[in-house]
Amino acid sequence: MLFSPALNRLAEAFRRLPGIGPKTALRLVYHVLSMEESAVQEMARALVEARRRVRECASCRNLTEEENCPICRDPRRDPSSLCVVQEPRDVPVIEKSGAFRGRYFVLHGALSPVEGRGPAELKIPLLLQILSRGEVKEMIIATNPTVEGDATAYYLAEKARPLGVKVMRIGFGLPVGGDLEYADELTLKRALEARREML
Amino acid sequence: MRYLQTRALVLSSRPFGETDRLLSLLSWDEGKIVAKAPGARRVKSKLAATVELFTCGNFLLYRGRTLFTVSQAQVETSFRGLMLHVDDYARGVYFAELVERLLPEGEPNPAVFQLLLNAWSILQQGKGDKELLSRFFELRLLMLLGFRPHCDACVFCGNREGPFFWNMAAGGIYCENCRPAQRQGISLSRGTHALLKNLQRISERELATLRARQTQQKELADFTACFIQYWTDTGPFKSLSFLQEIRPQV
Ligand SMILES: [Zn+2]
Ligand SMILES: [Zn+2]
Repeated sequence: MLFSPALNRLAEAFRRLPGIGPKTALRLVYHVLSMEESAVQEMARALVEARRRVRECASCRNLTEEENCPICRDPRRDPSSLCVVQEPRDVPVIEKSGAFRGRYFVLHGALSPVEGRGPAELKIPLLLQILSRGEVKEMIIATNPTVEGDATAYYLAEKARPLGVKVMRIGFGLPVGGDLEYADELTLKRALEARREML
Repeated sequence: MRYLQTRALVLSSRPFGETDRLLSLLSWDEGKIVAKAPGARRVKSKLAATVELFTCGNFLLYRGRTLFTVSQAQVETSFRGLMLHVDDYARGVYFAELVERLLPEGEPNPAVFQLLLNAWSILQQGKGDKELLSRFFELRLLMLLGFRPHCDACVFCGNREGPFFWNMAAGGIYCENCRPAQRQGISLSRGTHALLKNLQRISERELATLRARQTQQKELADFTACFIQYWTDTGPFKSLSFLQEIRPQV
């Protein structure tokens, strides 16, 4: 029980974050009170700035502060190879493996009937538009090896094949059911190397 | 009895906390239960593959204060094949969502268990008309849960010849003559009414050869949707709208 409306408001705000229950929220509230005011101000500014500045890259939907992200602007990246991932956090994971030199497309989720998340919400029409320009020769689908991730992969493969794109799937080296973000670099490198065409 | 050994279907499997999954299970012995699968999102987890949606498995569950924790699991059958076609995937999810939302927690119902298992299996085999499978599943599930729509005759005059209309407030079907003024009802033509009664009677095996006209399909789908909506006060079924979103593109 907090006897201050301001503290209550702060606790409520923390609770909106994922994985934060009432107890953790209270712990964070007390911690903020013990901080220097300047540090708290800096934190508040960082929150607002990040929210205001960060947006989706116009070509790949990864998070960036510019119209196009650094990977999309990099002329050394191979434009004929496109890797499709579920979440922005999957991009650095694949980058660290060093096994991929093409460009990305971030779906921001997988097809989920129960959440009502369909092709339009994942901007799959935008992806198909990119593919239809003809520059991309190979699309590597790196969605999670879960039922949702696989269903999304098969859907994309079906849509991309008529556009003359070779559709590959990683994850044949990855065990079923896990999340890509928890794969180590070596496992991921092997999974990318062992990619196979989806027929 | 801190441990429960049970055969169960995975109705849904959602990311939970840092690396866990939260499962909604339909247990043969205990009905609908919620269980946590610790670490199941880690790539090297032994549980990862067994706690996926569309799995029928044998589970060893630890009974906690608020929820069960999966301690071991073995796959009996996996209907992963449903993910090959987005329509099957959405339909399989819709069946699970119906069970998850209509079945009260903690009420064992082996008949519902068997119905869902059979429906996933028929869907994966790709036999018969899938829309009719959906209607069959909806009507059978409603019947097993005691919500059977009574559609034998007009509730006012006992007339058995259609066409009929359906209105939730009337509690049944009524004929053209008894149709109250200004009351909106879902229309059930003679053909649709016959199809409805047929679906309530036949077995899964007979379903494979059943066909219906487009107009009857539409009428029947509107009817079951309205009926189900009435018994679930928790908003629309997103998996149904998903099915509609993907249909024109397939
Ligand atoms: Zn980009
Ligand atoms: Zn009548």
